[in-house]
Amino acid sequence: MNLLVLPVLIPLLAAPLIMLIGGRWLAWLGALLCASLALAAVLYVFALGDGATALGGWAAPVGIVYALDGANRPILLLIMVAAVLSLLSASPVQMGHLKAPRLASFYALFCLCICGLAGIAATGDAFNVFVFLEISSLATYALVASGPTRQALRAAFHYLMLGTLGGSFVLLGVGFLYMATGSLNMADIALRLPDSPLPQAILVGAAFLVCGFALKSALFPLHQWLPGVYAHSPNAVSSFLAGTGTKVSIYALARFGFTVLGVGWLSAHRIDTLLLILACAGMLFGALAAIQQSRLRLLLAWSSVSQIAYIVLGLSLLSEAGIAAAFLFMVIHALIKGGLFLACGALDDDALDSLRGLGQRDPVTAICLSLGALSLLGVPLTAGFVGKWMLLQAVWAHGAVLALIVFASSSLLAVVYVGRIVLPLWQASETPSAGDSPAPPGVPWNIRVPMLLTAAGSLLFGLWPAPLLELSAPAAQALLAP
Amino acid sequence: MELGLINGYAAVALLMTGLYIVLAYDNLIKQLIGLSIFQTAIFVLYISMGKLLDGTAPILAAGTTSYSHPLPHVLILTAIVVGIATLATGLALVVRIHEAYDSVDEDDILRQERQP
Repeated sequence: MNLLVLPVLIPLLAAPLIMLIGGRWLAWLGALLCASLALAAVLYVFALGDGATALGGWAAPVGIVYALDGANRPILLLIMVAAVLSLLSASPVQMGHLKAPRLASFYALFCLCICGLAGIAATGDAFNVFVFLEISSLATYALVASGPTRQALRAAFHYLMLGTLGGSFVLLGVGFLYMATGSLNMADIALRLPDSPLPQAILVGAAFLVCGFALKSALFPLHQWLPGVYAHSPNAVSSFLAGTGTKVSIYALARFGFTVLGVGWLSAHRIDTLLLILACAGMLFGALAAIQQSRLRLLLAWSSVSQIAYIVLGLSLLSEAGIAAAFLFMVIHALIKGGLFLACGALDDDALDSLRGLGQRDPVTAICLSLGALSLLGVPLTAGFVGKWMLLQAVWAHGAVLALIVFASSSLLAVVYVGRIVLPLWQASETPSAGDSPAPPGVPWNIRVPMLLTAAGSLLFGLWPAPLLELSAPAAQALLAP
Repeated sequence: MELGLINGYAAVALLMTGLYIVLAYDNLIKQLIGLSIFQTAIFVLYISMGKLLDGTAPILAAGTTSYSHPLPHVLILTAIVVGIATLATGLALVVRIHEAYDSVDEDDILRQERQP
């Protein structure tokens, strides 16, 4: 079981190696190899089965523990698959605006980001979560800043300010929990909480943790950093972040909420009501903002704000069905949104107007975009439908009528913005010259392959959702286990 | 002398000062200064959490019976490193922003964005 450190250790060691080796193609291949090895390590660890490993041989409450259970399995898998596919689409050709030494550091930072995210997912230590959160965040700020335009710098700085505030809130939250219980091990904190002499400190700590992770996961109304970051960072980074960054923060929120504080504590202090209200507001606000965008990547970013709220809605139900649906939705949304951002890499211009006639010029990209967008909406036979259906059932079983109404209205609004993507794709181009102009340079294989894989995935899991259901159901059981 | 929660009040005052600077100022460097004050406030809170009056460093020595808790101090060592890395990244970004926009003022940058 000691091998659970591998998904964290491989990218951590690969980062300086890539910096030392340098080069352009070599650095890319190195990063790709690192992500593939980490994915292989994750799959190998899965095969070994659940369990905890104490780092350095120090037993649980004192030492740092890495634990694998149903809840972090889907997250680890998600991180590594997204990393491989995003890195594949970020060859030195796509990252051509970066000069040689900066390019090697770009790939090294990508590895560090993987390391941080995998660390958050693997660790069972509250302070360790903060450290890995900051590792991944610092790498992300630099990755976002390596976007092709100068707006990327502004987006990165904005993200740095808000992200660091979020990280600091998490640090404060962990501090208050430590004050109340005298322990940093998550399972140990959970055991000591009921007898804590300082119940107010637990409440303050929980407030800071919820606030910090909500900022990090861009839960409404703390989502301001997200649209700029998704719209201006390099395509591969947008795809990776959309698939993993916010999801890992939501996982951490769920981990602290359910494993550490416990369902009883959450419902006694009305945290579930708070999250339910924020989720309902976010679902509507994100969808309304997405409708007004004129650029595809901004539209996708705002739709992410709305979709993150769907995931939090599932968690806020505090029921096994709700949490399982939230994890299922998380995996499916990562697949869809990651795929859509990858498809953006195949476009010359992401203005919605320029999508017109793409179905004739580049049918493969147009099909992938349409499939992704329809899956985002939750059209039957796509993976998005499975996610929304399970979530809807969980909300229905919970009897939250208001949430149900908001859910339906937000889905109706999604019809509008999905229509704004899909319809122009299949309309004839207004300017006939576009068809006569010399054939545009083909989409390179390293974008086409991951794009097709994600599109195929959203179709396959729509028809055959069993593997995803098997992945997400144990997550709820693991989080709710006493 | 009874100090009570004075460390908490001090930390909260610093925390709010830092947060106010981050939110209220348009100058990016000043925002980073505010962020640093904000983080330092958390360090103060953590460190004072483990301190006992009359407590010494946790080293066995004749004549000492009361020790300060070392763990929060060690945690904060890590957090200080993180804080420095964040500040360095932020300043590096400000340098790049200054190169790209010839300004470190948020309003000025937004104005340039609106009129390309």
